[in-house]
Amino acid sequence: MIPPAIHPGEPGEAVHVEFRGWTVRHRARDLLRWIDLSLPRGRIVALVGPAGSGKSVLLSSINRMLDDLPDVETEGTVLLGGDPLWGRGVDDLSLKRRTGTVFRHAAVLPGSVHRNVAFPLLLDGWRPGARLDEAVEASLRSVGAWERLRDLLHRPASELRAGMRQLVNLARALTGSPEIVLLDEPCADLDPRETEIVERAILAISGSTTVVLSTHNLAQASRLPHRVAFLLDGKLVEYGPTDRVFQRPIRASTEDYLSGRFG
Amino acid sequence: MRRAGTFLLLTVIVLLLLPLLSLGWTTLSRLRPPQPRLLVLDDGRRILAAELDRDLEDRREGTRRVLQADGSVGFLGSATVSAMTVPEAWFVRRDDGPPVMGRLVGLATGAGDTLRGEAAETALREMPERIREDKTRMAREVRSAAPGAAFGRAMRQWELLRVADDRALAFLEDLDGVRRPVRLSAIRESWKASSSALGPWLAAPIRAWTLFLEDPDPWSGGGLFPVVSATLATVFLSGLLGGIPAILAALRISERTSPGRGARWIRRGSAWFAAVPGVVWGTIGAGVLVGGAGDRLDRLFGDHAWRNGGVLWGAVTLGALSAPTTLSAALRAIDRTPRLAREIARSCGATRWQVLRLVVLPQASRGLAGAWVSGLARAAGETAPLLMVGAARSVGGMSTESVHWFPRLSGGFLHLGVLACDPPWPALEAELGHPLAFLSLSLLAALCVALELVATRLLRQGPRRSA
Repeated sequence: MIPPAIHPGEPGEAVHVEFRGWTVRHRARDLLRWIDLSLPRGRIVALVGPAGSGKSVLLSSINRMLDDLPDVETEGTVLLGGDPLWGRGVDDLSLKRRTGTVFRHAAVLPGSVHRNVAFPLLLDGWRPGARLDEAVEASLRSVGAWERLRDLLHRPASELRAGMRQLVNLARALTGSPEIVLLDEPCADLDPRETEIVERAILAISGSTTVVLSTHNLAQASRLPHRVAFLLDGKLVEYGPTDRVFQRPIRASTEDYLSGRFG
Repeated sequence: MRRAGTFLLLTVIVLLLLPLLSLGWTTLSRLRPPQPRLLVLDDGRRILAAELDRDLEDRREGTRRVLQADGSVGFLGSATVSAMTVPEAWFVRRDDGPPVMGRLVGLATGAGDTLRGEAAETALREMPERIREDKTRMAREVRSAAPGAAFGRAMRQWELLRVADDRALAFLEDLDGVRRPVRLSAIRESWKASSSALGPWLAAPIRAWTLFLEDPDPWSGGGLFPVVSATLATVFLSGLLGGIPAILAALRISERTSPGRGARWIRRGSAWFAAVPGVVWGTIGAGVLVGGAGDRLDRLFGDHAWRNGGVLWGAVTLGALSAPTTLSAALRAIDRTPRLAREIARSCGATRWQVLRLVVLPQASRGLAGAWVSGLARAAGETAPLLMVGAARSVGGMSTESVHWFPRLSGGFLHLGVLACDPPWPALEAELGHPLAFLSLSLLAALCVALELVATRLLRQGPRRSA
C-alpha cells in the first residue's frame, strides 16, 4: 500500500503547472492515480521512477498527447499558468503550442535541420525568409548549438549524430517560445559526452522556461533538477528539492529506489 | 553445401525465366511470315504449300497437313522428296477467305489499268491499305451526311468506290497455271517468299510493328494497338477507381498514432481480401455492375451500351480486386515511416492534416507510389474477371468507335489477356502460326513484369530522407 504523496512547495514560488486529483485510466487500468502536484515556474523538475510508473503519462497530460491514445479516461484537473488543460471547450492545439516536447529516441522530423527547428513556426503559417532564419538562429543559440550546426542547417537532420539530433529537437521545442519544455528521457540514447552537451543546453534554458524532465538516469536526476518527483505504480510517492529527496528521502520506497534496491 | 545451394538457386532462376524465355522465342518464331514452298512428293506431284502446325492427332497418326495455293487444307499421305523455296511466289493473307499463294501475274487497278512486273508488286504492297482508308473515309461521310441531296451524293460516291473496289484485283497463278483473283481491299498482309533462310527472321520485327499498328479486323486479328490502349486504359482507370481510394483509406487508418478497433480490422482484412481470386470479383462485377447498374443505366438512357459491359465496368472490377493489395502495401509503406516523427509533429501542435502533409507524405510518397503501382500490376495480371464484365473476344461484335485509339467507357472492350486466351481468328490462321496470341501474351507479360519491377523498386527504397 503506497501512502499519500508528499509534495511540499517552497513558500513564495510561483506555481506554473498544477495537478489536482489527476487520474488517468486506460482500459480499466490506472496509469496515474490521484496526483496532486505543483510545479514551480522557471525551474527544472525531474520525474523519476521505474518503467511503467507513469512518468511519461504525466508529461503527456501536460502536452495533451494522451488525446491520441484511444480509450483513455481522465479525472481531476491540470492547470497550466492557471488555465485548465483538460475539459470541454479547451483548444488543445493552442495549448500544445504553449509547450515544447523532446522525446526519448533521437528521431527527427523529415527534412533539414532548419526545417526541424522552424517546424512550430511553419505550422503557424510563417514563410521562409529572414524572420524565420532569425528565429531558427535564436533557438539554436539558446541551446548552445548554433556554432556546431550553423554550417549544417540545410543538411538532412537525420544524418546528424544522436546528440546533435537531440539538440535540434531541443531547439525545435524552444522555437515559438513555449512556457514549458517537456523532456521524456532525452539522453536515453546518448553517450556520456553527448549527454553532457544536452544537459548544458537544458541548464541554459531553465530560469526563463519551466522544464519537466523524465529520466531513468539517477545521476542526472541528482545533478540537473531543482525538484525531484518520485512516481511508483502511477502514484506520486515523494516530491521535493533534489538534495533533500536524494539525501533524506521520507518514504522507504523512495530510498529503496534511489539506492538501487529495485527498479 | 554451398554448391548445392547455388545449384538450387540457379534451378529456381531457370524455372522462373524459362516460361518467359519460351514465350519470347515462340512469339519471335511465330512472327516469321509463313513461306510458300515447292514440295515434291514421292508420287511425283509438285505442290505449292505452306506447312501447318501439327496437332496431337497429326503426331499420333503421322500425317502432315499443308495449306495449299488455293487456300484449301491438304493431307500429305506420301513423303516429301524435297522442299524448296520459290522466290517468285507470294503469300497473301486476306479477310474474305483463307490465305492464298502463287506467282503475281498481274494487278488490275480500280481505274481499269493492268500492271505487271515490279509495278504490280509495288501496287500489291501499297494499294490495299490505301483502298481500305478510302472506304473507311467514305463510310464515315455517308454516315454523317444529312438526309437529302448530300446523302444522295455520298451514296453515289460510295457506289462508285464499291465498283472500283470490285475491279481492283491481284491475280495469283499456281504451279498448275490456275489464276486466282484476290480483291485488293480484302488483303491484310502479303509478302514474297524469301530466298534466304534469314529473311523471314529479319522480317519478324517489321511484321510485329505492322500487326501492332494496322486497323482492327476480326478475321486476321490485327490492330493490336487498340487492344493495348484499351488494356492500359482499363488498368490505369482501375488504379484511379480502386488504388487512389485505397491509399486515402490507408492514410486515414494510419493517421492515428494508436489505431482503433475498426482500423485494426481493416488492416487485417486488406491482407485477407488481397487473396480473393479474380474470378470471384468478376462474378460480383457481372452481377452488380453489368446486370444491376448497367441494366438500370440502359433503361435510363434507352440504349444497350452499359448492359454489355465496357471499360468502366472492367476498371471498377479490377479496382475492387486490386484495392486490398494497394491498401495492404500502402499500410506497410506508411508503417515504415517513423511513428515518432508523427508524434513530434503532433506535440508541436500540428493538426492531423498537417501531420499527413508535412510528415507522413514526404516520407511515404515513394512507398505509396509503389503500393499504387503494385495494385496496377495485380490488375494488369487479371483476365478472368474481365471476360465476365464485357471484354470482347473480337472486334467483330463491337461498335467501330469502341475499337479505336481511345476506348469508350461502355459497349464492350478489348484486352490483351482476352485476345490471347480466346483468339478471334479462324483455326486455320492459328495453325499457320498466327503471332498475335503470342504477341499479346508477350506484351501482357512485359506490362505485368514492368509494373511489378517498378512497384518493388519503389517499395524497397523505403522512407525518403529528403533535405
